[in-house]
Amino acid sequence: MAMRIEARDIRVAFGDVEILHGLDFTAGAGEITAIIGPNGSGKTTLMKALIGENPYSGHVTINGVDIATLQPWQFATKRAVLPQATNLSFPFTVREIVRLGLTTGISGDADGRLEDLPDLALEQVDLSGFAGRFYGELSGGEQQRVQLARVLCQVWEPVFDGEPRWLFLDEPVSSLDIQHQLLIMRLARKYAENGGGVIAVMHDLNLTAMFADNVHIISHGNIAASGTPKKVLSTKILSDVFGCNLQVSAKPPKGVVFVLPQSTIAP
Amino acid sequence: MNVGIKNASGQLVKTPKRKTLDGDRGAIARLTILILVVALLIAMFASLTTGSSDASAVNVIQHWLGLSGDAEISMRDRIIIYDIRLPRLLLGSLVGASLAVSGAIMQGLFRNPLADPGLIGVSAGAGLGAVSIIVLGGTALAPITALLGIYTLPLSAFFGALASTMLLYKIATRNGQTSIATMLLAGIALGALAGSLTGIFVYMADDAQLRDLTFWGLGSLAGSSWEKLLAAGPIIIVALIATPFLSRGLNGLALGEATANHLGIPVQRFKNIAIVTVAAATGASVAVSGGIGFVGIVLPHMLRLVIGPDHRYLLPASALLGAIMLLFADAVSRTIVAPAELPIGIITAVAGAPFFLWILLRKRGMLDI
Repeated sequence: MAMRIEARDIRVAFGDVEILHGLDFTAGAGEITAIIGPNGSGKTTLMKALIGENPYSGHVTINGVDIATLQPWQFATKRAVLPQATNLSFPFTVREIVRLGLTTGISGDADGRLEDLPDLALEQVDLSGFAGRFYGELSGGEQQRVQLARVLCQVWEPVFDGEPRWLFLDEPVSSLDIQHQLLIMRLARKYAENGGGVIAVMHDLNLTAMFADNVHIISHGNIAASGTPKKVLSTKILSDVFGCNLQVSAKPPKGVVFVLPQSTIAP
Repeated sequence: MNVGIKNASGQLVKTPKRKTLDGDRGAIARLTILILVVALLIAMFASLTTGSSDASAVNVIQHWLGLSGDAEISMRDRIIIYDIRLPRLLLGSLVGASLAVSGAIMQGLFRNPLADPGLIGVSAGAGLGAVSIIVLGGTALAPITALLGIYTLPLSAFFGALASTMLLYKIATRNGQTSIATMLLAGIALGALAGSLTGIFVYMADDAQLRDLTFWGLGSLAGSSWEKLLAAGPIIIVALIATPFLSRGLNGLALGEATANHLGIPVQRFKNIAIVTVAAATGASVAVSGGIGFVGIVLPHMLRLVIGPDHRYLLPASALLGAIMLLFADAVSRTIVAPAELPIGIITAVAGAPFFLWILLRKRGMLDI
């Protein structure tokens, strides 16, 4: 069984407008696969096809199984999804939200300690002590991390039943400060290192360069380039795709102040 | 970073330390449900022993135990208690539970604390079904009445509720996605349409039917009988039994339809089941008690403030509180103008409407859909 996400000839159209023009996509377990591209290029549309949220034509398989043949609960045991934003209809506490990720028969067994997972997951996203707060009272970045804790509860073990499980993250760090951006990306890295797969729609090209194993650049509904960050994050490709002059450099250019995540230059 | 994620060899890397149960309202919810169970038993007993007659359940119990010598008085009490109060209290409990649970389910389904079967035309559809049978049951629809017997009224109300809900659904659903805003607005329009069709039947009704219709429309438990209980009870009980199975889906929907699906809930099928459940509960209730309003909006809202919105607790608690409050309202309706009776719908409306407006004022932002 192929332990990866594979999509072949994916087309998505809204009405008469075709958004994705028959693209192919592969992501391997044990890796972070980043999807980048300009606004409106079809990144999120592609992700929504991969998670079965949007109608599409073509084929998507997860661990060798066509997702169209999976019941919702079966699919839910294999992948969890962090959406860009979540609108809540009722006043839940943080713990209640995180617990919604836990479902007997879906979440796995966590050595019979399912009930401990919400606390553990909150600790992972640096929200210990927030369990009793009301979700609506948190900042956008905190809410995003609460949702990530919920997602982690759903697929806590990166490998379950001999199969890798998958995290789909739609702009997971967009509303986070730099400390928590790094925290979340390291969490994703850890998940991949432990055998799971991570597919993330990203806007931050520097974080993508730091953390992704593979990058798919989407442009006008097609894959413009695929490969390792080193290969595809080039001055030429990025300048073409994003329509502006970018400079990709291994060294800071002279005379311009910019901030690097400190950990990368730590001893 | 020390992580607690399981590593490749299946070990949790770090032992979790569980410090508190912060944010877990489960214990409060379970306690609340326990209190409500006890309160319902008390309310049922009180409802059995009080009324405009001095008949006392205690007398009947004494009679059973052979402690009462006066058999004749006990016999009169027995009739009042067994044939009048007991069916009424059972019907009142079931209708109250059904109205409150229907409201809670609708609110979860539409992700809006103001949704209610009364609001989106389900009750109006049920009413149309019921009124058409009341007016035409003796003439044009006589074969149906003959065929279904006592189940005619609740079933026609159920089909009225189901038809209006399904029509609504067809209007509001595109590509398997239900638009909440369209559904609420279309519900208001369909409710008005059902209301005007009901008006035509009322226009056609003769004097006796008119009196039935008026009293029925105000909402009342006055005509409760074993026959009505037998007719509506089974439908309501089936709907109530179905509700615990809806709680996980409703919890998932609180995060949105897409996320509910990611959590493994078959969203569209789930919504269909929830809607049939609400139509059954509402239809049967409307058939036997007419328009008793505001129970479905006010009670789940009050409960959410105490036990939170987790439907695993909210649904049973709503059912219990609905039963209790309807028994209470019924007691008021039977005694406030004794020996006459005020329709119970007036009491729930007088108590519920200001509360509804209060919620509305506090939640103005929620209406921007």
